[in-house]
Amino acid sequence: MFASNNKITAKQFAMLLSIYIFGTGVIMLPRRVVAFSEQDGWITVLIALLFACICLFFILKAASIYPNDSFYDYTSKIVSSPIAVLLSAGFAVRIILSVSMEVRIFGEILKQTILYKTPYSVTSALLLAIGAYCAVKGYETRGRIGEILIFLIFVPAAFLFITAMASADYTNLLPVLNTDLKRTVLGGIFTTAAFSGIEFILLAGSFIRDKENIKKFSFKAVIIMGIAMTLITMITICVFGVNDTKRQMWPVIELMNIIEIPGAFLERQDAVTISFWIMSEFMIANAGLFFSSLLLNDIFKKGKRKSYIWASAFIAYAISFVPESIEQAAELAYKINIFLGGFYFFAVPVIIIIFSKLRKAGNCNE
Amino acid sequence: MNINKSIDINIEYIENLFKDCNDIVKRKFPVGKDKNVWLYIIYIDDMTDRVVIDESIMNSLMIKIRQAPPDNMPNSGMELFNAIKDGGVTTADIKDETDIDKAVDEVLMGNTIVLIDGCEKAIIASTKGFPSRGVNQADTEVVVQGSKDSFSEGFRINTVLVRRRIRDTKLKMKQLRLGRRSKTDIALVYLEDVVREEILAETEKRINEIDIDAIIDSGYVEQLIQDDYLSPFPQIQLTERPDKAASAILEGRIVIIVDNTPFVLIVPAVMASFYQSAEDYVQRWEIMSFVRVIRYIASFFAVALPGLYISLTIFHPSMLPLDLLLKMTGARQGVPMPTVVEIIVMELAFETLREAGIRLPSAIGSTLGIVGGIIIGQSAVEAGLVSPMVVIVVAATALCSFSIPNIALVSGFRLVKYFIIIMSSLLGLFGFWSALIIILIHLVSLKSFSIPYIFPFAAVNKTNKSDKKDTFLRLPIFMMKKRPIFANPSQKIRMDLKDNVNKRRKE
Repeated sequence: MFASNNKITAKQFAMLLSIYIFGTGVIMLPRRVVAFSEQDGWITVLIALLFACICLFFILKAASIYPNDSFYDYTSKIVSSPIAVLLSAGFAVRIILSVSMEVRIFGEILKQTILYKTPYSVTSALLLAIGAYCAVKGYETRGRIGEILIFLIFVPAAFLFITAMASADYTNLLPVLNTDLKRTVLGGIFTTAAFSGIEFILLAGSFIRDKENIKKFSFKAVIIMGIAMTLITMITICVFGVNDTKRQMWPVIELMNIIEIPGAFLERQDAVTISFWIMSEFMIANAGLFFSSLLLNDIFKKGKRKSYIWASAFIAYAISFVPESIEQAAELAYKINIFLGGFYFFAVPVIIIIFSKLRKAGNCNE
Repeated sequence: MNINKSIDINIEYIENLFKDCNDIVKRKFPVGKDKNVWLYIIYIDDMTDRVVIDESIMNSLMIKIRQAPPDNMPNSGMELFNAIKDGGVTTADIKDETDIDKAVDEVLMGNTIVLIDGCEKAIIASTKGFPSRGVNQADTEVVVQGSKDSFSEGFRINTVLVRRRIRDTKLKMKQLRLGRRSKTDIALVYLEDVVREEILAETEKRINEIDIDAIIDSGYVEQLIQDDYLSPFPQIQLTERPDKAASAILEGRIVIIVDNTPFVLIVPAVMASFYQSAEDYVQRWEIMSFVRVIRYIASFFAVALPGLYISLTIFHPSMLPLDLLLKMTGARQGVPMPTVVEIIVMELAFETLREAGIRLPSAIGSTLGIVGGIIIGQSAVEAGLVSPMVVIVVAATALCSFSIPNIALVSGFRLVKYFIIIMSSLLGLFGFWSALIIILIHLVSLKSFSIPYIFPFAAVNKTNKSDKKDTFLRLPIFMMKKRPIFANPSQKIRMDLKDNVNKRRKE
């Protein structure tokens, strides 16, 4: 039966993770990787996938030490309470900052593409409010909604990308491996930030019912999303060429705009693309608010989680006004994902594993 | 209060209770060798079967007992009580009662009580015989192929209609009485070994928690035991079809029959159940699967079409093909109202028309359709008050809503449609999708007796993924070997096709 225990399955978690990675990573990815390695940008994405898998391995290892504890609880046991507070607070800040930049960018893109007269303050507020509403409903609701939205997001997206392949010039990918290998690998390291979301396993482990399947489904999600991002990068480079891809702020949205679907009823596809991107962005907002509320609740140990969700939403909304332009917001988001994200991607799991080995804590030897 | 030995005290008590109740028939009469033992009979006129009372009770008590040889005549009240119970009253369904209030309750149920002087017990004879309209055709769940009978207001008629379809001793009908004043009979009908015990216990708990003066209709029970009263979506299924109720019981669900109501309740109910019609299972699977797909698509448009129209025409006209856009713009020439107001006015006009059509007699109802739909609609377009496209959108929305086989779900959709219209009129496609996501979050968080409302579109695992065979598509019956999620896991298998059947099918 279905117990109301706020737990989800590993498969549901993998679906949520896939949507999160897709939403945060894809829109600007081709532009970023082409800046590092020109037509070999897709190889950069593959290298990033490799690094993401390595990070995922450490994250899973760290999360399995105390599988039934929250992030704050197990870090308290492993690295002492004061450091646990710092780590949790930092994690919450990283998440809220990411969400705020995401909603800002999203609001600006909506303004540029389909809602010319609506200020981003309105769209961002609504997006955060819906995200918070979903987060308040709990993890079970989030898991189930992920199961439904994954089809509504990926099926039309796959159809559009496949259609885009028809107008692609594959010679734009040639010559292969003609760029500086160092830059390609460096690009791969930075592009690992496109897999932002995998660090949530550190927080979500205790919410997963079938813990034995987390590893299998998480790797599946990351690898599938990595391959999808590689293909999207290849298609974008093929359609626009290296120089145009570099010039465009949102190459993937532009790509959607120029697709001609045979027998299509609509004149413009970008509004359709925005439609499934709206769903993806909403999932990013609700994931961020959900996890930040968990961390804040654990740190302060007072009040209802619901209050922390709405507080996080309000803070994220306020921060979203800080960048002066969309370009600045995009740059900030990128830096947050690389530096703060990288810290929780790699450094924190490794620290947790090392300390747990030293202190022989939990399941550190399994 | 216990029944007193003295019949006069009992009579005084009852007379007091039934003061100014002219529909109650009461009579005190003597029996016995010396006419020294007094009886008192009481029942409600027309709620009882007069033939049973006259022939099986009064005939025995007033004539047969007096014709008995004097030596055999009982003298004391207790002797007479035993004589009546052992054959004095020629009806099978009799019992005794020592509490006078409980005996009075039985009178109110349509039974007859007989009080005997010198005896502290009353005899209760089952004489229920209410006026009834019998078993009629289903009005709200009409099918082309399949049984035509429907439940009616008679409690026993309804239980019989279910029992006729499931002749199994495991079919249980647990009877309860609800309503301090109405004392309405309610039956929980389920298959003992197929039902999930936790759902049965939860249902009983919720029903037992009801403390109300009267249960007039099954709708009262529905609203008092549902999970989320704020939701516009039905979380309990109502049906007037006995075949649907029997199928639900065979799936492990619980049917709640409420006296005086032709609609029974089925718990738990998931969203997919509201898309299933009784006819789906008696016709070929290919055509019914096609119909299912149509229903799901239609339900999307029943909710979303007006909002989508507003988004596209007001906020994103560049998405529309140029020819269509020019036609629509041309058709709107001279229309004084903004598109949003136009849509809302026409939708509300249609709601009024629908409401008026339901309340009017059927003969006038069709005239109303012609006057409202054709004359007013056409005149409004010709007068330039509304554009033809809006009429088409509103009519198509209504048509789509009629293809959903459950009225309660349609009502839910009708309400959320306005929410989508408002959101779309404020924020275009973003508002449209935001509204849909909010509705989706709500649906996903809903539960019906602990079963997720959105099941099996989400929350499916290895053990219950077979439930998907009866959702968007209705796969062949032989493929649906397992009972759905509602059933006890130990009774999951409902079909065991023999090898030769499988072989024949493969050939």
